[in-house]
Amino acid sequence: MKSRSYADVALGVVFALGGLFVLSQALTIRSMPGMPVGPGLFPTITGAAMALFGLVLAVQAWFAPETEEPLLVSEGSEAPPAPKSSLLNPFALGILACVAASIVLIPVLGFLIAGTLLTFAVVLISGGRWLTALIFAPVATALVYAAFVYGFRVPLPHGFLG
Amino acid sequence: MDAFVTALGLVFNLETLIVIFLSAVFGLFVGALPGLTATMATALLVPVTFYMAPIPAIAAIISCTAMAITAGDLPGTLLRIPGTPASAAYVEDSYRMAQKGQAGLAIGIGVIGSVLGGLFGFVFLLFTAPALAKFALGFSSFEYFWLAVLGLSCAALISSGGIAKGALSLLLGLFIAQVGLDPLTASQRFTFGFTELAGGISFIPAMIGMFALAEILRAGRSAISEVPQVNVRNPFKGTLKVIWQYRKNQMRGSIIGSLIGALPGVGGDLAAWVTYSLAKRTSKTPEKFGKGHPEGLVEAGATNNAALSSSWIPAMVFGIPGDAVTAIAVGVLVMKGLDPGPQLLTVNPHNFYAVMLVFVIANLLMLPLGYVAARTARWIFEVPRALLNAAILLFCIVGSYSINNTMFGVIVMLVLGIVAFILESRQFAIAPIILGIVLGPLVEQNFTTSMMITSGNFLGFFGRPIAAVLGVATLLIWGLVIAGTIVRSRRERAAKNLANATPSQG
Repeated sequence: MKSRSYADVALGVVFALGGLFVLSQALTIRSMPGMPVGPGLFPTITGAAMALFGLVLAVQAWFAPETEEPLLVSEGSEAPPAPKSSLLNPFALGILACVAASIVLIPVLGFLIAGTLLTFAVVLISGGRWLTALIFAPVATALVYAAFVYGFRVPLPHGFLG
Repeated sequence: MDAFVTALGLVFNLETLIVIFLSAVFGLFVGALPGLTATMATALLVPVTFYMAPIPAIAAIISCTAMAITAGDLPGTLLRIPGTPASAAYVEDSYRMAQKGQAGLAIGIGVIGSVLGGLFGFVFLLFTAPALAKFALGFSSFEYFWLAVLGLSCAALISSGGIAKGALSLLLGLFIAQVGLDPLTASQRFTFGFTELAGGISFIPAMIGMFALAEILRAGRSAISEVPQVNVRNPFKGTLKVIWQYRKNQMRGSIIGSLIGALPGVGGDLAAWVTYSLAKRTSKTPEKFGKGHPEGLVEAGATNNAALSSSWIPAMVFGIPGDAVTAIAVGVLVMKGLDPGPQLLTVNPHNFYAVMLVFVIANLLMLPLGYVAARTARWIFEVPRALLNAAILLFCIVGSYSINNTMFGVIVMLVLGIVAFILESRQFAIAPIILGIVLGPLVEQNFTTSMMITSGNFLGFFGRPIAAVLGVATLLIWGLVIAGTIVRSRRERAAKNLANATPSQG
């Protein structure tokens, strides 16, 4: 598919605006009296450079000649199965929803219950069968719980179980 | 000698040896899984090392990484899915060898070549690092600042997406490193009133999100069982004969791998591509390359692990990692109080020798484990993706949580995982972000100290001879790369205009 890279233009603009925001915040950091440098100097440089390179990227992508849509090349993904390049697919959205839900549910329900629900959902989202998910979810959660709580002494949340 | 004896005691104890073995098995399993990388294996292991003594922790990282990189040859050879960017250099040859019934030989060349290359890199590291460390003892904040900037610049400039994307990745990492308390005055920066941000953004959940969560999202739910698979009957059979036949390639690959891997900020991924193309150019039969010929495989395979070993030189001597994996390792060293730098080698040489011993053990362990992996590869590939995704995600959540025992780590993992996925889908490299996070405090501290010494005069950064050389080299690299990009872009534009004009004239 031939197209100008509007995604790169958008990312360039986002970085440029982000850089300007970092720069504006950095300029408000008070420097130490009598010192040539302060805690705001390095963030100022970072913000300015980010705004500049963001602008460069946006301009480059805008004026670049129309080319073939680049393929995603990443570690371990040069051959089938084809990697996902958009978050807007049921699998990616499902996985992200599961992680977001776990952030809310683990403190409330505790790791054992919330972890089991999360694992169950991820197995199904990833194309696993109901029975497999039903067996695997509690076993995997219990094993991870045992490894971290008894092995590494990490106090995983118990939620309403106390 | 006392330091070496102490190091023997640190490594040859039950805890460390078990850690090395289990980490190697874990690295082998993850590395052999198509679509899962050595970086992901290392990222998943870091939360576990949090609870270990320093030497077992670093031993876990070394053995896991070495094994995962070697195991990355398995999906490359049998399924044509390279496990690492480095093994992508020779995947065509190894896959075609497997299709010709030489899967065992291809895997054997990969494993034994890696062991030999890794041991060569170890010897290079053993002799080079202490000498460099003595030299580096005279370094001041000026030299460290330029060295770190040089390393970060190389990492950003050699990334595949171009200068702007590489620089933006790096700047994002540097920005993330600035969140929290300023090291100079302890004033809060970019915390926006959130107490969780006052402690800064820990690199562990950041790294888990960027490598593990993003990889799950990328790999998706695709099964790999449709890809035709090959049985490995006699792993390693005839391997030594082939390696002896191409001994010059083996030696050259090891030497070049060691040299490229030792460059700060460059890492090993580039090295295998360099030596593969060199092998092709100097071969008597270049036409056979890419069609199942072992010559390039021997050279690039040796390069892989030689570069892996020597990439620890800048990481340990200067605290400047060569790639994402050594950036993670530097983070672990700092976390464990083994601050990388010349003092690690001069004041605490037993720790350095212990790390060296782990390198040897990890490399030798590759032989039996590589053999077993080759025989069981088919079963490893058939582990259901659904169960893997669920187990990895659960581990990511617990690993991110356990750093500060708050859900804030999981939030960091989620946000940065999404950011990394989006950026990588637009060819932004992720390694410079991690390097920026790990090296950010070092760069800022040395920059601020140097600015104070020179009373804010930037020209003072070029006042010492080595600092001046490093500074000029850094500026020169940026200048050359930017000029090269402009010239190339103009040529492309001119060629396109010419191509557009030609049909209308004709």
